[in-house]
Amino acid sequence: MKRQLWKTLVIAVVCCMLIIPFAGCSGTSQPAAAPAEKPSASTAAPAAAKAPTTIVFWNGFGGSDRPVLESLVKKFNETHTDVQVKMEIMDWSVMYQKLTTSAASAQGPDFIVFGPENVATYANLGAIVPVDDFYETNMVDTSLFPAAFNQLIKYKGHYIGIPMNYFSHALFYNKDLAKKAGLDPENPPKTFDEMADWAVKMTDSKNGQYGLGIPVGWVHIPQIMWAFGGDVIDYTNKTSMLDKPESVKAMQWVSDLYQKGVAPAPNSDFTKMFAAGKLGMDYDGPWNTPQFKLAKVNYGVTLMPAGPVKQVTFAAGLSYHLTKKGSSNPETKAAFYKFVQWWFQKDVQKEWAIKIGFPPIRTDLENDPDLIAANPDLKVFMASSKIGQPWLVGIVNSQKILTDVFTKTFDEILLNKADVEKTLSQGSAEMDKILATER
Amino acid sequence: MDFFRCLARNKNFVGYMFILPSVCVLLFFEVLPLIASFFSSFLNFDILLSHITFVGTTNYFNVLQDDRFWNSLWNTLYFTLGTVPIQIILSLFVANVISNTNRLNVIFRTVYFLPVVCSMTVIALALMMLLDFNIGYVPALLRSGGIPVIDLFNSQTWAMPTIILISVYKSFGFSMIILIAALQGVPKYLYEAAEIDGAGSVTKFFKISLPSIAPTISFTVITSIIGSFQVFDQVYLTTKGGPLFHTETVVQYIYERAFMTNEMPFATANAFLLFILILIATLISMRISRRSEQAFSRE
Repeated sequence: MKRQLWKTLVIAVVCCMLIIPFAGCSGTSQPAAAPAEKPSASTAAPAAAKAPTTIVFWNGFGGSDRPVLESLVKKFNETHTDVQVKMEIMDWSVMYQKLTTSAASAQGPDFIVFGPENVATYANLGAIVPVDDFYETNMVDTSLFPAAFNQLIKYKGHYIGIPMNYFSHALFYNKDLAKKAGLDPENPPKTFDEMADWAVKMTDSKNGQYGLGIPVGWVHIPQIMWAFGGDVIDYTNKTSMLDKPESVKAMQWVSDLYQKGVAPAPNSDFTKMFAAGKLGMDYDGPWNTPQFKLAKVNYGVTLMPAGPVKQVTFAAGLSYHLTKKGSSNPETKAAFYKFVQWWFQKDVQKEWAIKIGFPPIRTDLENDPDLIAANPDLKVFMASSKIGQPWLVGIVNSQKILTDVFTKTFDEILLNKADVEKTLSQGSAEMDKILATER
Repeated sequence: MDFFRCLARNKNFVGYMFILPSVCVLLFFEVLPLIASFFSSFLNFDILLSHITFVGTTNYFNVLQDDRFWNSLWNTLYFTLGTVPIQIILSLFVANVISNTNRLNVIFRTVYFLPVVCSMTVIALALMMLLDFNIGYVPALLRSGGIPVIDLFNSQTWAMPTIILISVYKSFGFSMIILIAALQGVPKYLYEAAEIDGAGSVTKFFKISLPSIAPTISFTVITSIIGSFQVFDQVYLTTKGGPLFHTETVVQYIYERAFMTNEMPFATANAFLLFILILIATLISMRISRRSEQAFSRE
């Protein structure tokens, strides 16, 4: 009899074990089934009107910027009783992966932050939605945005994002290596010819030291093409410009430098190399500054030198984007607008700019003495914005172009010494095939 | 209550109830997604599962016509053919040397097994720090001695062998422990009889140890092959498939198509082709293993 009872008990326990996970599953999929004591989701019911609306915010600020963003979000939460921001920080690539899967199941964040090259992709999918009403109600003074944002926050005639941060590329150079090479560190290169000359002089291949870093996977080579008067895409007609004579000339200039041995392999870690004193010059963004300072590199930063046709650099910014899920509830949407309006405030922008070393998204802070005193590099990055331009704006298949065209074509030229004109022409044909789907 | 008592009397039912939670987990998180993804490979849809259209075998044809798929398949085969033999031979050799239980061997086993319990992220990043051509410790040391240095992770020739070695370092300890356990299960009297007959250590290994542990070797070979076909993290962490796709494996390519360029139907078809390949490779290796086991047992 006892044995029988024991068996019955085991069956009951196993049944309970089975029920618990399913109960858990059904509980999470029906958040509004029962009035919660403490509403934590963005779907706060009118019945709990006094409780704050919690909005979920995903981003990839996992570096030295993480504590700064966390402290600012904390400050917002402490000063606002009606809105609470729940922030989840993850690796950027993980965020994109999770974003797509969560959007498919109507889960995930209420708002996110990402770069301009992703805007068209996710807007086209419907994962992020227009925010025209934010601008229609004049919640911020848009005339204060850096000029590049005119393109960055719009998609197909609608406002799709709200500026979060701003950055541009400038030329970092190692003053000690310059001095060692017989160059004047207080007079950095101002033209491409001077930059090439510095690169040759700063190279010491026996000691694994190179003059200039030229990465392939992103905007670095296209920005050289801009300086030669070329581009990678005709954004109006959605056609490739890789095979245009200006682009070919620019790529030839890059290839010549690379074959001279003054640039390390295109996929090297340039930031770490510069921090280790193994790279003379690196043209990149302000996110490198904390690492260079931590490594105590005696560096200078100057405007990107002028190319044969024009002086130009890459400038863009990340924006806040409202997700489909976030827009589905008016309270969540209003809470999101409240947060981004707060983010645009002068004191918030100053704190963000000073602590992370990025230029602010308000042009009226350009000459702010506090900013310059706290981080002199900011002056150069803010000046860079005047010669800066974004890229891949409005291109849905930007990631495909980056991997299937740019990395492949540029690697082929630099690593395999392939003929520049012929390879760019092949790359151009590939890109036209991809762009044809967007015309 | 009577119903429960009636069920409890059935011994088979109780047994099935015990395995039911695991079966449910397998069913919901493995079998059903597998079936769902198989059917989705015949559809065209965007990442938000909207605009779904039936396209038949188009996705499979697209994959088979894609140069990067064939390149990634070749790289995966290269990786498998490099990793599996090295891992099995090395683990067999080390297992044979340290199979006797004494204090020193216990230390060796711990040391060799340590990479297995470390995450691949830690191992890959640590080895990259050591071997990085520009800022790594090993190249710096070699340079200071006037020895020429190779850029392992950026060389089209050396990148894949480097990843193979990282993988062997990470996982050979697992095969080694399994083989040690198998070797310890071989009856001692077989060795003693062989010694009386004048057999040396090499003869004992090939004539006694190897035939006795043949089923275990088959197991390690099959699990290594399956694991090698699914290689991803070491590639993603070190070269991301570069230089010029020379280390891009099938899973890395599936990941890129699924989550970077949002081409989920293409990625699903690609994943199913990989599934079929793994199935074929496993069946072939099982057949070969069975034959060699039979040959050993006849001897």
